[in-house]
Amino acid sequence: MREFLKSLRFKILLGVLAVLLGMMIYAAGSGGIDTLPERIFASIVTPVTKFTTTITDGFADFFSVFFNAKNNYEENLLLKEENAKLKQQLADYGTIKTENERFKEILNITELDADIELIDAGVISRDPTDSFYSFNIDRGSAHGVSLRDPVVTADGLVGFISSVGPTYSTVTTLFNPQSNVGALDSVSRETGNVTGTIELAKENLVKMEFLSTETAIQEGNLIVTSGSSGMFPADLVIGEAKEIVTEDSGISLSAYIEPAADITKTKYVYILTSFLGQSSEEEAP
Amino acid sequence: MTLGKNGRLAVKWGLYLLLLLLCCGLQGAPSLFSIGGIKPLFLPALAVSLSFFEKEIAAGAYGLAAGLLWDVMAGKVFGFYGILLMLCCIAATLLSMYCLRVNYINMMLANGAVTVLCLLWDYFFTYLLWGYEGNAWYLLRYFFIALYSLPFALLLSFLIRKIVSRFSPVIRA
Repeated sequence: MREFLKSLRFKILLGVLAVLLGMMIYAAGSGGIDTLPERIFASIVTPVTKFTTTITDGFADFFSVFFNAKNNYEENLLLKEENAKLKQQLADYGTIKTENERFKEILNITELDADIELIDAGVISRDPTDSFYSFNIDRGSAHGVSLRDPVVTADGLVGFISSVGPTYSTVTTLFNPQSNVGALDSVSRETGNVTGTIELAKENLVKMEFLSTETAIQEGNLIVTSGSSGMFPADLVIGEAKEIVTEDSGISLSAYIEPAADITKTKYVYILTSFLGQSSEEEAP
Repeated sequence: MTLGKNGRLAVKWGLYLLLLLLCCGLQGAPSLFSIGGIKPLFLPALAVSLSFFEKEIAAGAYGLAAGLLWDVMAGKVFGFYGILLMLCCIAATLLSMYCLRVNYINMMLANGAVTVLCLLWDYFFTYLLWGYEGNAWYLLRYFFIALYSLPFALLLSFLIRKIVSRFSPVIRA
């Protein structure tokens, strides 16, 4: 052992360690924009994980038919019930649509959707150790993705881009305590901040905090983005309020929200690269 | 056709590289081997298993490469796992040279220790340091990840041993 500590190899290793520490500090200070060494390694990781994900997803889809037969049957019954309800709702939809269009004409409201530009992306990897379900996607700056761009599915908000490379990006989800989204109750129009906690992440929930003790938010209310920060467009669905609880401090309430998007299992997402009211500042949401 | 010394060395490191890429892909695959949200780790086990048969510099470089791939895949600060795995691999090599016999029990002990160390490293910097409430629950989750990784670590140790016995002229005892 002493031989090793006195050897040239040991000195080389110390030198490498010093270089690595320097590189790590540099990478940490880059604010989410990948450095050159990161890009080199990512150019290896991205195609490899993309390939294995495609293969393993194929296997998983094939075998899930056998393993999930009972669940599928129960889900089928639920869907039939839901379908009957939706048919009823559809009957009312025509009337509401006509009425709504008339109101829009009267109020001259501009459609927000026309301003939204989006890019579709596939999930290429998830780290087993991450408890907030962050994941990597196969789109990066070369495709027009920027830091802090919102990430959504057809069901609702998933999170935001926290790190961007040329052909890949990392998505930090709503479950992460570092994610803060200005939110609004679609019924009472009350505002709050939606963020994650370690305890709620394991139950697939997030919380809308800083609500007054006289909050009118009720279980089942739909929570959407407020769009006030400029980081997310307004009226994106976040999820449904599940429970209203008093914070430990006792001076405010929080609403536990079940995200509408299936963040833990989603395989495809959309990145909103441009939308009405988008902030040009790159602040952490 | 028999290979010369350089040929065997090239094939051995080619296989090491292939295993590294395979393990990287398997570890990152979102749905593979997932039981209740718990997925196994492959990269630390692979790097440590190899360290039992290679010299310090080679083992350190391989550990560093495995760690850096893991960093990119997990979206961590570049070098977060790289530095740790490099040091762990060098330590494993030195232990196998001076203190431990190279057998499956010692390899599994080293694999388990390094996997736990990597998870504690992540736990400290990702959860504990930020003071998140209820973070102790994640220690339990990490325990299951480490436990679940062990059978795969045994398989990787077996594969590495096979490669070494086939392509290395001298095997460490």
